[in-house]
Amino acid sequence: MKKILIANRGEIAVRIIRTCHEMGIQTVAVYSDVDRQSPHVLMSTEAYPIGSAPSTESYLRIDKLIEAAKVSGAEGLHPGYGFLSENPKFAQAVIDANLIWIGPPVDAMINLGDKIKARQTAKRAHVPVSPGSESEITDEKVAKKIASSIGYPILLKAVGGGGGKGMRIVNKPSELSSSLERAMSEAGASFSDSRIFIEKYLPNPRHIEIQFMADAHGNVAAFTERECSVQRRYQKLIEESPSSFISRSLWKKMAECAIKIVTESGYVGAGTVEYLVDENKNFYFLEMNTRLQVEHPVTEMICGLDIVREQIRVASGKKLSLDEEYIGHRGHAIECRIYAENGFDNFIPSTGTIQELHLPDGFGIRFDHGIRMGQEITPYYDPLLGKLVAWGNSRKDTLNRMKRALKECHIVGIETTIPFCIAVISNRQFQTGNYNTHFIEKSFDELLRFKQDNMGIERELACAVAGIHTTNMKPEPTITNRKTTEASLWKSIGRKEGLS
Amino acid sequence: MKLQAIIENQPIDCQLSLSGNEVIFEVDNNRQSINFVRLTPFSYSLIINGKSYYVTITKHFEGYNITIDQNVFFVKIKDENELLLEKFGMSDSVTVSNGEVRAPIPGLVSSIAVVPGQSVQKGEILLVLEAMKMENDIDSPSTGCIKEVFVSQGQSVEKNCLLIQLELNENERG
Repeated sequence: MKKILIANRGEIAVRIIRTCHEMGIQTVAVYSDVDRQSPHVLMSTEAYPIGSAPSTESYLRIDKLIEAAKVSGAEGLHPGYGFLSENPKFAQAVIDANLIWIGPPVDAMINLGDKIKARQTAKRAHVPVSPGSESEITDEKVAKKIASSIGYPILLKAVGGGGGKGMRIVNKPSELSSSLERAMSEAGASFSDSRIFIEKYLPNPRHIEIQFMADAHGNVAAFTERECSVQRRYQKLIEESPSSFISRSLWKKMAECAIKIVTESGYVGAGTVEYLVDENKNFYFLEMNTRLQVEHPVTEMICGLDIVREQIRVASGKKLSLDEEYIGHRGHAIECRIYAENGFDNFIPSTGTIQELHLPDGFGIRFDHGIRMGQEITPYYDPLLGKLVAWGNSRKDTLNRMKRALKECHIVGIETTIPFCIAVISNRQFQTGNYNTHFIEKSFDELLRFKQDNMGIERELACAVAGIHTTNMKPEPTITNRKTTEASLWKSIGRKEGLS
Repeated sequence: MKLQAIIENQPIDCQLSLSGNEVIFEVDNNRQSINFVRLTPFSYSLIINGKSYYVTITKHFEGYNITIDQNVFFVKIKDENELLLEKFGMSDSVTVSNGEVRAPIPGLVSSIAVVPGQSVQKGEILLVLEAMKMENDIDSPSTGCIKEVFVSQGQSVEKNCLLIQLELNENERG
C-alpha cells in the first residue's frame, strides 16, 4: 500500500499516521469543521473535510469517508478505534469500494462484535463464559425473568459496543426498568444499536486481556496479558503489563483460549480477548475487541513490536513478522489515559482552549496524543487527549517513572486526569498490585485525601501567585524574531566610537 | 499592598510588596521573599529560598485556576478597594443560593424529567445532559418547586447556561 486513509481523529489518528510515514506510506486525514486545526490534519500528507462537528455528520458518515478515499486515491483504510471501527457495514462498504480494510474479516466482525454471538463463539471454542442471557433483551418482562434466574446484581450491556456506553449495573428488581431504558437510549446513541443483554455481575473482578495478532496464513501470536482494572464508569483509566495477579502458567491458559477463539472465528488482524478474573483466579470471557485497542502501546513497549505496522502488513497479505505463538515481555509498562476530565469531581468533562502545553519526555516515556497549543477541546468527541506510557525494568521503576512524567506534563487551560493519575500511582494499594475493578470507587476517599494533603503545602504559594498576577499585570510577553544581534552590534560600535 | 485571597472558598489575608522580579509576601506575620519570572502569559517560574516552582495560571470565572506541582487551586483576589467596599456592606460578591440550575458542562439536553410547577427533592434528577457521549444527570441542588424550564429536549447548551429556575422552599434559601 502506498496511501492509507485514517477514518479517525485525535491521538489514534496521529499514532497511525506515524507508523504509515515510517513505512513510507502516504496518509490521508479526514476532519470535521472543528478539527481543521487538529494535529492529525496538520501532520498527514493529505486532508479532506467530511462535515460538521457532530460525529453523526462527519466521522460516522460512511459515504463521506469512502468519497474522501476515492478522491485521494487511497488504497487502504484504517479505522482506528471507536467511531466506525467495529461496524461491519462500514468494513463491507470499504471493501466494496475496492479499498483494503485494515481490520478483521467482515464475518468475524459480525460474529465477535455482536456480544451475544461472541459469547456463543467463545462457548463453541470451549472458553469459559460467565452466566447471562443467550439472546437480546426485548422487554422488561424477559429482563426480569433472566435477571432473577441468574441472580442480582446483574449487568445490562450493549450488544453492539463497549467502552462502558450503554452499560448499567442493576442491584435489585426495582432498578431494572429505568436502567434498561437508559442503557438502551445510550447504546442507541453510541452504536446506532439499542439492543441490550444481561450478564451476571462478578464481585471484585480483575480485568485482564490478551492482545493477539493473526495473519491470513494461519499464524497467530498472543501477547503477554494487560491488566486494565483501574476503571471508572467501566472505562479504563490506567493499564499495565504484565499483571501482578497473573502467573505465567495462568497467562498461558488465557492466551491459549484467545488463540482458540481466533481459530474458531477465522479471525485475521489485530484483536483483543477481554476476560474477567475472579478472586480465585477463574477467568471468564468478557468480550472481544475486533480492532486496535486504546491501550495497545502498553504491549508495544514490553514486546518491542509496532502493532499498527503488523496490522498494515497483515492487511496487505503478508505474514506476521513474529515466529513465536506466545510473545513474552521485557520489563514493565504502564499507561495513564489523559482525559479532559476532572477525576476528583466525578470525571466531569472539561472543555476549553489549551493555552500552554509542556509534554513529558526522557528515557522510557512515550506520549501518544492528538493535541497542540491553542487547540480548542470541544464537547463533540471522546475526551481522551492522549496516553502517557512509561516503560521500566521493574514495576516499581515504571511507577516512579510514570509519576515523574505525569508531574512534567502541563496541559494548561483545561482540567485533566493528570492529578488523579498521580494520586493513583502514589496509592499504596495500587503500588502493591493488589487491586480490582472497584479500586477507584473504593479508594476514592483515600485518593482525595492524598490530593488534599498535597495541596496544603502549596496553598499560600497559590495565593502569592494570584496576588502577583493581579498586581503585576505586565504586558504579556510575545514571541518575536530576535534580531538583537544586529541592534547590539550597532550599539557596541556606537559605544566604541563614543570611547575613541 | 493588602490583599485578600479567597482560596477554595477560604479567605486568607496577605500583604504583597513588589519590586522588580522580587516580591515580599506576608501571611500571618510570616514573610517570604519570592523571586519570580513570568515565562509566558500563562506561566511563572518562582524561586523561594532556593526551591524552584513552575506555576501555571488561567482565568476561571471571577478568579484563577493556579496549578502548582499538579495541584489545581481556584483563587480569587480582592484588593484594598474591594475590601473597603465590602466593609461598608456594598459588596455584591456574596453568593446566595438563588435556585438557578446552570449547565456544568456544554452539551445536549437529551431529556427533561420535570415540568414547571412540579415539586422536587434535593438530589432528584431534573434533566439529562449528554456530553462527550456520556449521559450526565443534572440533579436538583435543593428541595423546591420548578418555576421555569428554559431549555427543551435536543437543545445544545453552553457551559453555565441557565437550564432551570427553582422556587426554593423558605428554609432552603442561602
